[in-house]
Amino acid sequence: MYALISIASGVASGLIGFYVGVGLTALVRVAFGHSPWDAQISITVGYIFGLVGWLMGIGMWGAWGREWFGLPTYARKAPGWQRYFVFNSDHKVIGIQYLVTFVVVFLLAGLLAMVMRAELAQAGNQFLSNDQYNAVMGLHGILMIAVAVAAVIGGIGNYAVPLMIGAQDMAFPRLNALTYWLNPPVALLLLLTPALGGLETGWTAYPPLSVLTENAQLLFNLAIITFGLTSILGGLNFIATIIFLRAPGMTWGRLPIFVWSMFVASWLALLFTQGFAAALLMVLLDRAFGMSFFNAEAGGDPLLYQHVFWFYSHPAVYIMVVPGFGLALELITHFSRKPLFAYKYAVGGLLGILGLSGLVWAHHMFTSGMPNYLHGPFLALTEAISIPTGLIFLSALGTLFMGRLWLKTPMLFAMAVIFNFALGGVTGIFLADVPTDIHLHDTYFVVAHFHYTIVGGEIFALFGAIYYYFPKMTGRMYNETLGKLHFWWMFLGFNVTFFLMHWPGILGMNRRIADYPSSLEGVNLIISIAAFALGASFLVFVYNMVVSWVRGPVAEANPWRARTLEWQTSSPPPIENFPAPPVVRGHPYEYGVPGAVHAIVPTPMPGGAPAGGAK
Amino acid sequence: MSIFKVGWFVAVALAVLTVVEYIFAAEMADATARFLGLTLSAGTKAGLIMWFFMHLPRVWRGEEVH
Amino acid sequence: MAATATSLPIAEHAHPDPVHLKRVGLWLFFFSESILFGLFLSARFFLEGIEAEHLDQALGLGITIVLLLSSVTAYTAETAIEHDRRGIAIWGLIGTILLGLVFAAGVGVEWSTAEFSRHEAFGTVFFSMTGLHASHVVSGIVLLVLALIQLLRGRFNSKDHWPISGVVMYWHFVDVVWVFYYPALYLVQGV
Repeated sequence: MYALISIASGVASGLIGFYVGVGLTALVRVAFGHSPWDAQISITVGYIFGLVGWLMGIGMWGAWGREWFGLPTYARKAPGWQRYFVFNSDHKVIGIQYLVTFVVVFLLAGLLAMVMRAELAQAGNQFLSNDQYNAVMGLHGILMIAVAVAAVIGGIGNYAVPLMIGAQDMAFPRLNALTYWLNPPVALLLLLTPALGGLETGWTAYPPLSVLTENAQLLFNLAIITFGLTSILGGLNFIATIIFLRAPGMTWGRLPIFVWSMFVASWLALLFTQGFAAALLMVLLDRAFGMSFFNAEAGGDPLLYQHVFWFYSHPAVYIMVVPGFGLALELITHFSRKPLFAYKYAVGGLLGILGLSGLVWAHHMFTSGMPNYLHGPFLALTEAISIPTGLIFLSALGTLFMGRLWLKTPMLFAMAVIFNFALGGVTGIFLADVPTDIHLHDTYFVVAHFHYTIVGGEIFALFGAIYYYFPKMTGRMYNETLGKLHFWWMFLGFNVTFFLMHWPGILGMNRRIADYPSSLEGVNLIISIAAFALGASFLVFVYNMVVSWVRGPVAEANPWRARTLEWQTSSPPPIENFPAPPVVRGHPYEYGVPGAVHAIVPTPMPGGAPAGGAK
Repeated sequence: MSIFKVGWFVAVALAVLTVVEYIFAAEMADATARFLGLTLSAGTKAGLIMWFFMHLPRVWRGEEVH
Repeated sequence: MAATATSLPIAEHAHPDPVHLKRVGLWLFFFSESILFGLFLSARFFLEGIEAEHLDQALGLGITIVLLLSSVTAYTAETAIEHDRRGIAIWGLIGTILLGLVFAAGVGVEWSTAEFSRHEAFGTVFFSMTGLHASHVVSGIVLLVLALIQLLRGRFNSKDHWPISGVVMYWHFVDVVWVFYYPALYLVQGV
């Protein structure tokens, strides 16, 4: 009932806001002698008003907005599972909200990938027209980008970071809730794009096509500018949290490596996300007001878009993969029962990525016609970023070496991250070098490369972390056999699909196109079959998660015998995280070191309400 | 009034810089020098505003008792 | 209360000054926003170099001085409330709002009298940069009015005035953006 009231009032005031915005636009336009409706301007203004209405209706007005007018605030209290449907500022609730939302989005976007592979199983057009294929591919791309940006940072990060540093909550809890509730409108807009003609430009939205194409592009632009805002505000919140809310004794040198990686990713999100917003705002201005940022005829330049866009979108891959590295190192050290090897070098590697990531964007533009003198520097800088990445590999391999490996499902996923990203990194060298890139640009080689880095590097880490934190989040244990089955099924399906994809790429098969030469049919059929197998593996995952959440055996507070702080409180943790504040005394990963203490934590209270489902 | 002294001092500095900036842009014929000079003056003005008006030092010194 | 030597350490959660936390958060937001403004500034030089069409220099200089003056009144308002000088704070905020409105009106006059269109490259950068900045000016005025209403109703004193400090910081930030945008649009091509 509480959940229904919350969502219904959000939707209602969102709709009211939309129509108020459209109406105001019409009034102003009529006053200046124009027609009352202009699709671009009316939808944009209506969306902005509708977004504010939605946020206020979902509960921001009561929890926050009233304060701006000097009125007392209140929060909607909702019991049990219903607390996931209100404006809740508890970081553990928000983490699970993010995680569930983006796993659902991940599965949806995965279905779209299945549609694409079905179409590509044979040469020629099977059941999709070229336009439909573009729409499916564009939607798959942008939904997966959203998952990659938000699932680990918003889900695992929100849940684990305050616990790991011994804090009670994030620095700005209400801002955190706002950050989550900005996401549903983004999803709604993106899912509406097929109704307005479908995305023709893929997720990169290059002009001039994005300026000239259907109004689906407008929804895309509004959605992604909003999504960028969530990314920026989330990053801001994590930075403030990690700087100011560490428990006493939690010095920078004792920070768990995942928290370090979140710190780096948050700075990247804060600094670079504006690039995507700026690029899409320029497209929006070109579309809505006939401006000429990208209209070469009137003095504009489409290359401007590519510079601004990649200024975000290359660092974005580090926003995605750096928390994945952090999780992989975190899991590897816990499950190797050894101190993390070369901790300081791993932190240095993360900071090195932060420093270099803003200086490599134009390696996406070697074939764009940008000035030749830019090729050399961007080649060299891109190659240079493999040095800090190498430090992270050094740390991972050094930790595994001579470790007493405890091969539980999370560990398998973490080791797969190292394996997959090694392949993704090696193929990256060919794309960073101008001579090979000119041949490989925009082929399936690129598709294989970035799926190896992002899916292999981040999504595997995400699933490892879901299994790792499942007992902490739900208070119940998942089924280990099904977990391992999911891992091997997904790992093999993934590697067959994307390893084979290099081959048609080298032969020149273009990405983003619904058709290909019939000589490439055999390998594409095998890739499609492997892709279906990969897709099917998630059925095991979903079954395992749903059944275990409802009926799984009750988990202990620390099933992994891990030393970091989040495991020193009950599963699930009480609302204030720790019954009494912990004091940190030493490094978090001193497994097997006699007498080492990470933190003194008061004895956790037994029980506590499960975080979802049961009560 | 003494509590506003810093504000008036900065205001005068900003006004002088703005006028100097305008005259400099009008008189300087060399484009590169004009660009660099304007960048310098804008940076100085932004620095004055951020340091004194926006209380940048409070970020690391903490909230002072006034 | 004296603790015995054998007792476990009693710790507090890290409790930073909430105002300090908000101040740092706001600076981080400005940092991020300045990248957005910086990218539009870069687009100006990328597309047009230092070229510019004819602009009303007197108007440009005038609204620049108005905006700088509004920063001074905003500073006065914040300093006044820090010292419980409520009357000066109210007049400082009212002055800031009025000067902000004058600035917005000045931009409106510039827009309606411009001799170039938004469909050409210089018009694109000029209207988008001033528009992006003006949208921040307008939102700043709205926030100033909200703060002023609460001040008039008797809220805020030297101990509790973060909303005024935050709004005033935002206003200064909008001013800092203009400090860079004004020479880039009006002066860099030579007057």
